Amino acid sequence: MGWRLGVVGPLPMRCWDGDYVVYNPLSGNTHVFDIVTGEVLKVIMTGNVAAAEICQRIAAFLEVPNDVGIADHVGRILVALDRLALIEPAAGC
Amino acid sequence: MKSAFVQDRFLALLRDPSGTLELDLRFWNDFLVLARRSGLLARFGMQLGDRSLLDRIPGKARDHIRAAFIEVESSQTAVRFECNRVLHALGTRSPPLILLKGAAYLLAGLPLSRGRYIGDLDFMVSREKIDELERTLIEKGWAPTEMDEYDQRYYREWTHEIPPLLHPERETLLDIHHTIAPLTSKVQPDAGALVAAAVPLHDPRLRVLAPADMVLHSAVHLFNDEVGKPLRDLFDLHDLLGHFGARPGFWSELNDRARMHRLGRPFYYALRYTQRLLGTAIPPAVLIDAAVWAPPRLLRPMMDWIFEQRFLPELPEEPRTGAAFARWLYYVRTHWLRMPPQLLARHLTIKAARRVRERFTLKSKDGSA
Amino acid sequence: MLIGDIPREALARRLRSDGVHLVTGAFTIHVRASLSRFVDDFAEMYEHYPFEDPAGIDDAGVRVSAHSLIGRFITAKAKAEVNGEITFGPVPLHRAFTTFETAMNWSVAMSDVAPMFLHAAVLERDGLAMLMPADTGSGKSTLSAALSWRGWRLLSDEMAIFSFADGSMRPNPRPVSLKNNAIGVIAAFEPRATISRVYSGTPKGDIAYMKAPVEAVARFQEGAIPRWVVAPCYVAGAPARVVALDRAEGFQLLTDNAVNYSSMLQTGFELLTGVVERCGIYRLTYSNLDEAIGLLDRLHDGSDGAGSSA
Repeated sequence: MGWRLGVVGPLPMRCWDGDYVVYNPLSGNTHVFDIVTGEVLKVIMTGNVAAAEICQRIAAFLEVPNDVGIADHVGRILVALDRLALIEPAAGC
Repeated sequence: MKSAFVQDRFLALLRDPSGTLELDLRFWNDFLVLARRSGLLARFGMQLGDRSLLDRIPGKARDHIRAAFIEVESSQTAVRFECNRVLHALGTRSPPLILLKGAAYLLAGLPLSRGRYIGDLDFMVSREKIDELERTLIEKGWAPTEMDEYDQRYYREWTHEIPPLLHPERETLLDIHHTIAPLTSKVQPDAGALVAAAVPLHDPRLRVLAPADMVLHSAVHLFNDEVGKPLRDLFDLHDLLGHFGARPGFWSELNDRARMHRLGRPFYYALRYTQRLLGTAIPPAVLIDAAVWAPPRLLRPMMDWIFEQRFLPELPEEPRTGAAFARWLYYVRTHWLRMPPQLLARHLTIKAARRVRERFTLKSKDGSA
Repeated sequence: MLIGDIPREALARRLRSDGVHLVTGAFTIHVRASLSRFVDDFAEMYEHYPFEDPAGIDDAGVRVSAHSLIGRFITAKAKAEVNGEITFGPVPLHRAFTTFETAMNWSVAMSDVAPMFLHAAVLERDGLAMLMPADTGSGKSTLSAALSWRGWRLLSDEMAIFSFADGSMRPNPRPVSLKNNAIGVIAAFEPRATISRVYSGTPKGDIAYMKAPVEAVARFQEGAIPRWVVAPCYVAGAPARVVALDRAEGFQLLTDNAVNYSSMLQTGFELLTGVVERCGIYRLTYSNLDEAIGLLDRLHDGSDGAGSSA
């Protein structure tokens, strides 16, 4: 299963010392995220991405093995971002 | 005296904002109050912007208009988002949702949505789908708005809606209808025909009423219901007629649909008052044809008076004599149109009793504070 | 011409009839009133404020009047209405001015004529603004009243208002409301401060108003660029201390106190992230006003006192 942004175009975003502040033009809401969540969003901002690839990129970013722990963590982040309407499932990826 | 003058020029300026440049500041002040109360300030600001006049008006007026833009933009974002969330919740199993009123204008990208405040997400689904839809949305986190038993019964039995739903994380009301007029009301549009003619949007799960039906719905809502911003809704009709009026075949379609849905009277009123008050361009032949639905000749001057009192806003400090009476007459009229007489008596009585009770609870709250 | 230039009788007549179009900086409020006790309080607290004559565009209207006919027979009450739509009070007649001030605060928040409102005190020095976002009870009114006599110009003790044009702060100095102990604290702190009579028995206890310093009123057309965000926190007996906060915390602080952040959409996001990036952000804990002001002066002088105590 793949993911893409819920809106077209880059999200207005600030990165301050590891905190991400993100504006969602669709909902009008602003969110403050930790660094890993911010990184997941940045990966998805590059286009449609498969969940497996997101895990791989996050593992590389954190310099840890891409194991079930990462998959679990990333999975939870994706659910949260989907709930906030920042991302949505993308077909054919 | 003063308010009559303000109101004459008020409508003229809303129709053609180029006269704005000659306004003195005090007139601007009254104009801003009236436009804000009528819900038309942002629409007016958009028109100024289109004519590159926004930079040429007094700075204070510009700030008020910008503030109105913000309010409108925020309301539209909320409704668009609520629609997104409904589709997200329903997924591919969603029945076709026919967006109504403001939400329809907005998501269909009609020009009249520019600068128009949109409070709720209204849509219609066919009657047999509505219970399942309500159940699914409640499962997915929406909650019925709190109502006492009387209101619940009133909604379910006698109106064309289920009680509005509200998602606890958001503040946008979701109004789900299965037709566009109450079941008990004397005017009964053909719901099946509305659904069948609806036009899909970019997302095929979303539809809007066909142009003629959209106009008739706007008319039946404005002339048979109580609405919060009557003049704004009259401008909706004005803009819809202006927008669709240029399409070939629109006017005869409109006439046919009005006959078919048996909405001749509100159709007649829509033409009469948009033209009378806003100078809407309506082909003379259409007006002549629609005259068969006019109220009895003797009643006409009174209806003109009632409606014009209703459409013209008042300055808060100078309420017009007659305006309140006209509003009361209108209230009785809308309820009479919507319900059989025995029901009407019940509704009015219960509402009245409730209002008295509410006033008492308010009083005692004040007293203890 | 200023409110103080109108003879008292003429002012009373005027407030009763056409009203006064009071300019408080960013706003023009159409004030009408029919209670003579109120006129005296109003004339004193707004002595140095100009008014528009002829009238132009009002941002809101506030009308102070007796509560109701029946009310008047039993016990005299006063109420204040904003734009003929929302009513404050009724309160006992002698407190008419307090309900007027509440209505004035609301009329500003309701008028919607600025891109952003924050619950924050704002003070200025050398064209730079210090925002103090905080809830009531944090001591921000008391602290800003004190600062307004120590080299900082009062823009507002209550509401930070951004301008549409450039995101700078628009002054709206008004009488500073002081509650309970703070009344005596400010009276002792600064002999030049003019403090109103004490209105007792309000839901918040005793209230008195400090007149905004004449200079703050005279310069209320001069804006200021945000430079510091300081969250004040009064802790009885605590030594004054300033701690730097990180930007995300600062952003949270601003949005928590923003009246209309959510309706501002992306404009609000750009505005407040811009403030966060331009400002030093601090939390100030204090109990003694002189110590607190000493630390804030050091922030201004650039020798930032972050992490240190006075």
